[in-house]
Amino acid sequence: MARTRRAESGELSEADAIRLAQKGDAAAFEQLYRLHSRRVYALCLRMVGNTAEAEDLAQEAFLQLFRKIHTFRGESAFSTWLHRLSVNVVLMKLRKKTLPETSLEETTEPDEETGGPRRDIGGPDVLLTGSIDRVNLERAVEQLPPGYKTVFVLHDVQGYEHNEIAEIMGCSIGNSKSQLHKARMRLRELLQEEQRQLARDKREAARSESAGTD
Amino acid sequence: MQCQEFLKDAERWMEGERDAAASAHLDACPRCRGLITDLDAVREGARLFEAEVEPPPRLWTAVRSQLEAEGVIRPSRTWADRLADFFPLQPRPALAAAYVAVLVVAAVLVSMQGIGPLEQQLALTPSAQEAAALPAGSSLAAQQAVSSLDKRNPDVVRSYRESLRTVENVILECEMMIRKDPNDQLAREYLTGAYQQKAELISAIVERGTLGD
Repeated sequence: MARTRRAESGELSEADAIRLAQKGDAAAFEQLYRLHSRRVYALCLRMVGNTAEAEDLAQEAFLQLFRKIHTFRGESAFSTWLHRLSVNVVLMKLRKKTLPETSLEETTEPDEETGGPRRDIGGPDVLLTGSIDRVNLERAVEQLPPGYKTVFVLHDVQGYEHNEIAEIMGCSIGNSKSQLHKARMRLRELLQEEQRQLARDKREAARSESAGTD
Repeated sequence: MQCQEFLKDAERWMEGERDAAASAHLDACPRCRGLITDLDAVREGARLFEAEVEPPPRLWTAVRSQLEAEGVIRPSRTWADRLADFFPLQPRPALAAAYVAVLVVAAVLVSMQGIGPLEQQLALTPSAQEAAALPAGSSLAAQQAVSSLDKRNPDVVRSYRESLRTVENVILECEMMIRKDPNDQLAREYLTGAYQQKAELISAIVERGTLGD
């Protein structure tokens, strides 16, 4: 369907656009950019959480892509190749940022039991149903280690399958599944902790109020 | 199954790989049920984020100017470049030339309507002076259009026939390429262009036949 629409609108197929871009054709580059920029930009935005950095990263990803486009031989899908490159650009950036504060282990392989690095999170289970909104989930995703965050964004936000993620991230399908599960477990912990904190704040406010009226 | 065991299986459960023992444990254990409900809520929550976000227009401007400065991108390709891509081998150069000729002839024919006697304005090539029959299988509209022309101007009839024959050959060639590769977008572009030229040519012929000059 999309192919027909492109044909009707006079645009080239992706294969033709790649072939012409490999010869330096400006219009072909622009078509490839238009085709993929929304997805790449969304990935960068979700990974870093702010538009200025997301723009820088998306720009870097497309620059690297177009500089190397003559080496693309079609062994994998073009979008997979582009996403692998984008993910590498983003992870490189995030690792530079997080390395001084956290170990490599925390960025890739957090604690096996909890599915996340051990922090002072605890207390009784709090059910999350109905309490997740865009803002608190965004805050929680920001706190995920880069490896977890990437798989979570690719799978649960962008809808990639584990086999595609494995290709993009250069890991096994099992690893992709395991990282996703740990990411969700960690998000659950973070969201639960936020709920507990909210409950504590409410109790505190109620106590202050009743102390004021006594 | 104990909770510890189920926790190890939770990943598989979330991936849809469910067995009877895990299912039985889940029915009996509110804590593990709560875990799965939460994980489902997290997964569903991800849908609150857009999978695609339109980047600001300046992003492409920045990418393009950087790549142009590095010489990775060169200016947009000319029509001639694209023809060269489309017709890289024999007999494609001949077809490309014919296609350009059709464009030129059609443009001249269409632009000259109503200015004066066509035969005085067209500089016909020697080949165009020879009577040229339309190719077998030419459309009825093309045949009718040519027969509608005033036979007292044989040179005009010949030149129209020549042009129609050329454009119909281009159409046949393009259709053949598309049958070989339905995804050949360039062939489709040329085919669309050739159809348009043919329509304009027939329209010019019909008008001229109707005028009878």
